[in-house]
Amino acid sequence: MSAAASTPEPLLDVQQLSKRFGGVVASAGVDLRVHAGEVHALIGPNGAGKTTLVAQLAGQVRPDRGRIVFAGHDITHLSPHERARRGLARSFQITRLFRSFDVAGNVALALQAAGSFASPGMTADELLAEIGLADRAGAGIAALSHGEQRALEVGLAIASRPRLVMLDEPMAGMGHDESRRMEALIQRLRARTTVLLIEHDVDAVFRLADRVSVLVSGQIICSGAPDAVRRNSGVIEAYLGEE
Amino acid sequence: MSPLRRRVALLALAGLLLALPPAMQALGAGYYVSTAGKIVVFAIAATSLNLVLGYGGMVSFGHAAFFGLGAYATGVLVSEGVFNAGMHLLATVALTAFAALVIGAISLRTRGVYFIMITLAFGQMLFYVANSIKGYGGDEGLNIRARSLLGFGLDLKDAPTFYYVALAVLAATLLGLNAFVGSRFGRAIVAIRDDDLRAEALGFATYRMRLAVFVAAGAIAGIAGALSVNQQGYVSPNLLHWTQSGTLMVMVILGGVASLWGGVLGATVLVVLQEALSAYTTHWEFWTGWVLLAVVLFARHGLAGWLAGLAVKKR
Repeated sequence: MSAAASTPEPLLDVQQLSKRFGGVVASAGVDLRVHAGEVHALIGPNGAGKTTLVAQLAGQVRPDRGRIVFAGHDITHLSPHERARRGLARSFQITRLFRSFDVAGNVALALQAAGSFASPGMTADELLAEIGLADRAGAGIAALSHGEQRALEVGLAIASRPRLVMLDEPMAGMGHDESRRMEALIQRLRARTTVLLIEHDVDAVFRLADRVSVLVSGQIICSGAPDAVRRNSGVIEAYLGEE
Repeated sequence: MSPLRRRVALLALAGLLLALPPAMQALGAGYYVSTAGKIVVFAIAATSLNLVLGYGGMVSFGHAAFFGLGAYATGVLVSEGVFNAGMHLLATVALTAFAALVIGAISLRTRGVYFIMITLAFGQMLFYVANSIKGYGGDEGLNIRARSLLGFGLDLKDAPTFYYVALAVLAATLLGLNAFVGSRFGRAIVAIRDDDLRAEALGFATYRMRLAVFVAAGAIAGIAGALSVNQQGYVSPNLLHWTQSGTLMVMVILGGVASLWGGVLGATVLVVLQEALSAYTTHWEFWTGWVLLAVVLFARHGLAGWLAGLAVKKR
């Protein structure tokens, strides 16, 4: 989507974001632009700071320095729920579901939270069908397979019809078939929202992404179309080469 | 239990509780009516703790401070010559809700063990404040001669009257808790207990919602305290002590965490054990400890969970 790259105002504009935990530098001046309508993949080796970056963008972690501009507003100092209300949603790398509730209950809670700020864009049934859990509505969380839990994890994040959804390794730990289903779900999401995808499965990333950014040691070393990134010598050396 | 059986069981329980004072007096055990009243007061306080601890997942170790504060609010008004029960209720709720708002607003910025310690610290602070107020008894506590004036010729010094009034407050508390648990807000609170990070990421204003529950529970504990001073005619700083918070916590765990009847069951069993055992031994707490141990080991969801399990088996 070359048209997106020329759009002057990105949906998400991250400027010089920095965060350190004691002696560990998680983000060392991250610059990242995500344009409306694209699937933007964020890749990088383990420990590059991908999850910490998502946590800063979603508000769970406060950056030391830098700005986060979302849809033209500075959201750097907003709380997580205020960011969610502005249409910035996330899923978690380690599944976080409400274990006192069944699948339908989890979905109802996500829609309830969304209902207080977004127009009800989806019914519970539509959302369950979308994530492939229509026949599992009454199941408890513990009874779900890993793949089903991951699908629900993503389902909760998209319940509010966010403008941008950040998916933190949605395919982590999945088998081949489950990964394909998740990939198809992300393809369908493309039509109605912007996706920032953190993913280790490089093949899936290059099939899904319109643009790819590579995070190494807390810095974006390369950002561009998948083919350009694949050929970038720095990226090959730092990340892709090890595959 | 089916809804019908549930309704029949509730009606039977209500009838039993209403018939208790005359039955006891007929059996020449009128003294125990005040014990029943004491159980009801603790049941209200324990139920309010179950709201924050069980449903809200906030392990507050300073809950007795609100109980004691409520007792002082009413006790001080009586000693100053204000007898109107409506005024007492208003002052008690205002003071305890305000205290819970301040304590909660600060404590809820922390998590886990830190939350336990900071609520404990606030509780102890208020305990020492109560100790140091010489004008109202200081460490000796405050005796009151009169009681809250309810009107309608009701005298709270009369044990059966007190029992019925306290029972009405308990019933209102349980009805309120039941409605809360079934409400959208109640489900959101349980979701926040399950995973507050996820709940906030979905757009729930978790901090404010938790604070609202903390304040409501503090005010209910305050009302229980106001009842307590009316029963005892006396309020002591010890009501605010952390061991009292611990007692309430034991009641909740014994009865059933996050169970509607947990606080009631826990308060009943603990007070009955205390009264029964202390007749035989001064070391009643030692034997109570064994009971608590047994419940924690063999009835994971407290007495309420154990009873529910029995009901299921019978069917």
